[in-house]
Amino acid sequence: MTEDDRLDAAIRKLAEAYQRPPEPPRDALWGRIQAQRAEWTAPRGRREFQVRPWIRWAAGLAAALVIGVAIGRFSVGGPGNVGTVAATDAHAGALLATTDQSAQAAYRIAATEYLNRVETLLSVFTIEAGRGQVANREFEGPARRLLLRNRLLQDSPAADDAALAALLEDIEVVLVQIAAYAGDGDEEELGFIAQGIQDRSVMLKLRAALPSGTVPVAMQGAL
Amino acid sequence: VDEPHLIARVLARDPAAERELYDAHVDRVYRLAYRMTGDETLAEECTQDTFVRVFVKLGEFRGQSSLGTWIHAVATSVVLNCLRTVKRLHGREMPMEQAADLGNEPGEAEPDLKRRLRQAIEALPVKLRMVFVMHDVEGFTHEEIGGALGMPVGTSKVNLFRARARLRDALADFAGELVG
Repeated sequence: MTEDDRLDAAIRKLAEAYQRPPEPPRDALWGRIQAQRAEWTAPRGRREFQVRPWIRWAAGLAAALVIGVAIGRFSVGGPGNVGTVAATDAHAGALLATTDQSAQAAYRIAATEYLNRVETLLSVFTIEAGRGQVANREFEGPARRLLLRNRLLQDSPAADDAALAALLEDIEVVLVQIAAYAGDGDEEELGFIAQGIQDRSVMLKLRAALPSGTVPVAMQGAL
Repeated sequence: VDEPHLIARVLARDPAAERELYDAHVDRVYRLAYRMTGDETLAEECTQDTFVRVFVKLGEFRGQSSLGTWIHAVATSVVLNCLRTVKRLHGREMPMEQAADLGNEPGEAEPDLKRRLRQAIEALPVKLRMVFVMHDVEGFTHEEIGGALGMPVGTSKVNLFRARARLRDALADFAGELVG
């Protein structure tokens, strides 16, 4: 046995104490896993983030604006735009010609829908943090659910897009902070989270990543 | 345990089978998560996340490795993601040289030796640390590590060799005490 071997053996023995794990809380963990799976497979309405009435009004107004702009574009553009739409449809047909591309588009839709939800949560969180009215019960659950979806998306082909992958990582950091926020009115912690959102330009990147209309033409029919 | 039968029962949503699968693997997953994160909450979160993913993705398991190896692949991916997030949150990972400089007085009492070892392990690049912890601390084989980390067995051996060499260097001051 060489000197290195003896040293390795001694290090190995000493390392047994390195971060020695306690007994896992098996039953409690199992309960949490079951609860998370139940949430994951629950009907969509039950999983959605509960938005406040004024947010619904704001969302309604935003939707009306989007529809108004769309109508304006069609009516002002006239026949020229019809050609553009037809060309886009033809292009969309070509894009979806293969199964792989359809799958890619499906992941993209899932990512877009996910980013929309994140944007809603972060908008409400930022506004309420500014008012010092953050009640963690409202945010912890949605943040944890979005965190799980984030990690699934990071493992999916959607993350092949480097920009989206980077955005998902930024979102993950912010969601971890929100999920871990104790909700005890600690302004410093709230400020730290809000600062994190600002420093990473998360809202800006989110809005840049989201399509300006509803679901992009190329993604229609992918699911 | 008849693995294919157990998997079929889990895929058929048999609650007893789900619990059986969980019971068979939770300890090893939790131990690895705890050894790597050093934090009870994070270890529980990683374990929870691992099993949620396992149940979601079990239909994709093709039996090319053992179920245990596949579950550990999911677990290591979750733990590495978690460590990356923690690193981004705290920016705490310490360069090797810096760790070697800490408490650099030869022959100190054993607690200091343990502290130095801890710092040296934490200063290892995360893949080397994972291989060292899996092999030398948790007793995984190189085949299991290769399967879990998606690397050839030879790469796992090389990584372990490098990790051990770095630890020997970091603890050179204590060599006499360690082998004495």
